[in-house]
Amino acid sequence: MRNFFTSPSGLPGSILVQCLRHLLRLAVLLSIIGVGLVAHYRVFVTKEKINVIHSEEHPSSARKLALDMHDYFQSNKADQLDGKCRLSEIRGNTWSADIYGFSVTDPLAAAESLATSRNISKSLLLGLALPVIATLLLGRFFCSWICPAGFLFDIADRLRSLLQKIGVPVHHLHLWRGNKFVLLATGLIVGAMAGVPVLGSFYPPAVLGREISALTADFFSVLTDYPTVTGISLGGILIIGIIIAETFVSRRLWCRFVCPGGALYSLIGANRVVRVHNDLNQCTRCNECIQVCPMGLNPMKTESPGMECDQCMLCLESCQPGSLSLKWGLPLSHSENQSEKQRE
Amino acid sequence: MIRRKFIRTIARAVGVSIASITGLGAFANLLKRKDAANPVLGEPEVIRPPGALENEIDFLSQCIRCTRCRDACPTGAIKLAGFGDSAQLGTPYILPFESACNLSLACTTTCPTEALQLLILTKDVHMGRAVVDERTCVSHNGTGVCGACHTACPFKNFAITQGPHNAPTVHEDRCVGCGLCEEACIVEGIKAIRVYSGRQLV
Repeated sequence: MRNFFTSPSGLPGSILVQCLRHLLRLAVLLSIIGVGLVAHYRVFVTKEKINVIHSEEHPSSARKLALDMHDYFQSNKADQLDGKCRLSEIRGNTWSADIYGFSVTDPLAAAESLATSRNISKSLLLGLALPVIATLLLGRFFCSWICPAGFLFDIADRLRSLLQKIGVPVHHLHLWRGNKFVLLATGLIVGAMAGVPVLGSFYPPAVLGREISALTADFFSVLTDYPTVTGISLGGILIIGIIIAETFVSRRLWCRFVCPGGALYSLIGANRVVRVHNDLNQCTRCNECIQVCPMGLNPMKTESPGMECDQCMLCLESCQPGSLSLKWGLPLSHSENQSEKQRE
Repeated sequence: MIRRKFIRTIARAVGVSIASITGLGAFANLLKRKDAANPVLGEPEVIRPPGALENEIDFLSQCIRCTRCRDACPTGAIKLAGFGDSAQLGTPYILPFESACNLSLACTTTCPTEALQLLILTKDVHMGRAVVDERTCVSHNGTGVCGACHTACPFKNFAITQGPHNAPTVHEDRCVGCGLCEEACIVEGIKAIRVYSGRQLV
């Protein structure tokens, strides 16, 4: 086992890591919005140009602005930029993305596709390679480093602590952690029986991707002659509902107790290589890490928190004596240490 | 003590699984629901993007409801069904009278599963077939001379041929069902040339 990252409190490195984490998730969220905007903007301009040529009406000011924007983007500089970036070749969201022809798919999507159709396609398997390898190395890192819904839930978390400071009463509901594993198993069984993917229809990152896609379509639809606005559908209501629940009912209610995708990531990354390691000799039992952990885990209990740790590194930042560190070693060495600890 | 904990875990798992199977089963029924007829076309059938699996049940089980085909579509023909639409939630469908497929086949190259199978030649597409309503078509009923569908068709003089007054005739075995003719049709309201997929909603 080798030391990978130690971060005593007060060091700028730890703050940098948190900033990086938030920025990465914000970038993912913004790029999902951007992908939708680029895709629908392209369609809007093609259609509108045709409409303007055909009808020869005076376009409304908003439409004129959009067309002027298009003319600007068609100019030399923007053309070169588009030629380099090829933004229209990035498609999809975190559920399944196509980045310049390279496919990345959420393991839950593949598991559900396998359950419902009893068949897995080659491109789905290829898209699975990167997330699965990364999860085997880093565990449930998707939840705290990439998941755009997790970013929104983190904002709910901030709101929660703010409300607590003001003195608004918030509940601390605690459910059974096994819920999400049971939900994952039953969801796959129901999906296999019904022949439709059930879990993907309420898995927050997938729902968020779909909702953003629908909203960006609406954004350009209102500029056309015949707007068809769908607005926020049931998925959007679900996301807002989770945010409200996480603010008032329980901290990270969805991620801790319900999320089937988190359950699958936990299972894949159970024997991860990089993990938070606790040097129990240095630990002063100040309970700071338990207070700060969004997943409600206890880094003090054993040498290393269990498979549900999402590597957010907040506990490293909070640890005053510096007994927590991020270490890497082969999966077996972790478990050996743990079993030795249990024997003692 | 350990046994008691074990029994409690088992009891919880059984309880949660019974509850979730009931809930998810109801949800799956909602996702699979057979909907009322399409408000415009009048038939409970749906046009899927090019390369979609022939069997609708297979298609529904393969499609993972990502948004890649819609993001790839250059004409905005592919729509994703929301609640209240005739197709199942999150699945792609096409309404040719609003926006038709231009057979770019970008969706078939980006689909992560085999729900949309990779196609290279546009003549291999079988989304449906166009049918001319001779009562409303202006070239057929003698109210005018049009030929818009023939002009729009990517397989001119092959899938659509013209008779007197530019009256179109569709050759069913050659039509790929892209719907460009339906989009171009000048008849207001229900178009005189419409694409039928023959794909019943399951």
